[in-house]
Amino acid sequence: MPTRAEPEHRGIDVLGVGAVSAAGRGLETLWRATLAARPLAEPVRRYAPSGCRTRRAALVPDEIVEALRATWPDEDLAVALCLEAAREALGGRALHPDAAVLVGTSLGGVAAWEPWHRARLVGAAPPPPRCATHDDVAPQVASRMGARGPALTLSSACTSGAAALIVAGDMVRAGEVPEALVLGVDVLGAFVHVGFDRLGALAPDDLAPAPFAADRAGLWLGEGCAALLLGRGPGVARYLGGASASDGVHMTAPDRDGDGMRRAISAALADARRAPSDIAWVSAHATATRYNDAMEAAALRTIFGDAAPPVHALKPVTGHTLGASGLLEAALATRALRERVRPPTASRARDPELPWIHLDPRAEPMGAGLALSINAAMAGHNTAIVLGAAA
Amino acid sequence: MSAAICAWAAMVGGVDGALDPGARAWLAGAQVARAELSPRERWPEAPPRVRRLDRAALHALLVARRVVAATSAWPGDEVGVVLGTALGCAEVNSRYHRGLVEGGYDAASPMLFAQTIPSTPVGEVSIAFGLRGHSATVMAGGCSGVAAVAEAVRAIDSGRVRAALVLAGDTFGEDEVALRLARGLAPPGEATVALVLCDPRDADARAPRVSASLAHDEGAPYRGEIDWLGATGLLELLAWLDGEGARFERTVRCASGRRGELRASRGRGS
Repeated sequence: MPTRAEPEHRGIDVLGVGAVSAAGRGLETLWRATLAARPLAEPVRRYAPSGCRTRRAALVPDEIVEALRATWPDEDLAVALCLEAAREALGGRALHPDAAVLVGTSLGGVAAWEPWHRARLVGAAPPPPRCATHDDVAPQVASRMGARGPALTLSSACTSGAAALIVAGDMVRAGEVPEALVLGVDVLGAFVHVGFDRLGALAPDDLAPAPFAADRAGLWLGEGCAALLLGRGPGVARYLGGASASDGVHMTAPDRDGDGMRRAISAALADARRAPSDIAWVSAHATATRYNDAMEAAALRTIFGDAAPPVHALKPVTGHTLGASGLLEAALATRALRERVRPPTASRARDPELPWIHLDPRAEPMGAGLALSINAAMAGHNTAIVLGAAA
Repeated sequence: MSAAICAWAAMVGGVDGALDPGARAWLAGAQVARAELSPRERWPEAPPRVRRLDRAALHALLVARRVVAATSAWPGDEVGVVLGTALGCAEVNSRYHRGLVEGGYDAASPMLFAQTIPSTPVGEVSIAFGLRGHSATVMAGGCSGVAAVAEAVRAIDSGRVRAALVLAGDTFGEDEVALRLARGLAPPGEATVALVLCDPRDADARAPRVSASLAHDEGAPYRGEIDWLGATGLLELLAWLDGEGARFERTVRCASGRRGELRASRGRGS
């Protein structure tokens, strides 16, 4: 096996972070919304989720969508969200011309493709949107940013954003590229809203998602984008390591024992050259579905024993932002590490079968240590990311 | 960075092992190379669930099973699966969405929706063959296969896995062909390629070595008669592997502003 570098050389700097979500523009608005721990999901007007048990979703506010469309009139919303998040992550500097642009997305251009396909089904022949496939976002963002390095899409459902971060980290570590702009993005439409409802994954209108609660009944969807700029130099946080692993068990249900997630966490800690005792806080995938939360809890118990670090769930606030979720959660983790604050999680009475899972009902000081962000997806994908405060 | 090539297989237009266009069909007014395969004929002993798979996953499984024995030297947890695909699940997306548009909520198939993720073939291959290490589904237009090789080499070189099954390929239906034609792109062809890559130190000294890279490129896109989508580039690599040449260097252009480069050589010292 190759000899890996020592811990001090494993880490990469997170040079900048950006976000656009239902909370609004910017990581700061996301941070404040997270501290408030209130669901941002509202009844949807942009599309019609007919027949679904909930019409709620946490969409990017209409006024921001209109402003982005005015700024980039030729771009579809997924690309515009990426450009906005990238602008914040870059903080006024230019992206290195040889930088890689990696986009993690579960849906890609599906939201823009839906009206084109609907028109085609009734015999019309409208011009195709610029962003119509999973893979259209990355090259369009790279062209807009003037980046000549790899422009790559990573698409593994709800682990897409984290998967893009892991690949980008390897590229920067290996010296393939001087910088990597990593984006996680997804835009909602009836296609995915109805699909999740047909799978039985959505919580009803009157029962907000409650991760790890005894009466958890599913998720509400969300949309948004996060950007992390990886490179070498003074940064706002450190990317220390990450890994993925497959369950190899079932396409739509997680491994009940959490073995795939356990292997992803173990490999991420090994990649970062860190031990479980170095982790101070866990950002869980926490979809508030019965089997996902039980799977994550099982994996965390195997890694940490009965003294698992406090766990946070972002999805009750932002909705489940699918391929963007891993990167939005990583973005939030960089802020939590900077503030040394564990943000609260809104939930209900804890599942008595998961007593080792501790959610903070209010913001608490974060002790010394690192953040672990984990995500899971259909097809048995699991990812784990280890982040630290800026040096 | 490079990895050794331990095994390879291809299925082009539904024809096993052949590097010819295979079956032709007319879709959206264009002649394309498309494969309608019967799981019962191709894999009679397959588990029943295989018969319900979408075509992309079925093609991936059919090609993967021809090379997967080469991964048996390593535990399944140390073998990764990397897929390169240009269109991903686009064909399933169209089928699922057609049901939703034409029949409303009740006609939106949850079974099809569960397959509307580009990484479905990765999950199916992982389940079928017990390959549970690092996985990735990379999309870079016609350079997707090259990008998948690059990611697999990266995963092996960094020690994430000891070996990786690389899959590259695409399937499509009428709507995907119509979209491509409306964008001024060449008619597509269905091909699926499988490579098993491993750490060169674990391989026979004579095993070919391969490396790959991806860059942005505003140059001319692919303009061939048939566009083999995500398999472009790897099909040419396989033709070289079947031949006698000592070295192989190829730049692959794809239609969406990217350029992929593949380099391969025989034996040690690449």
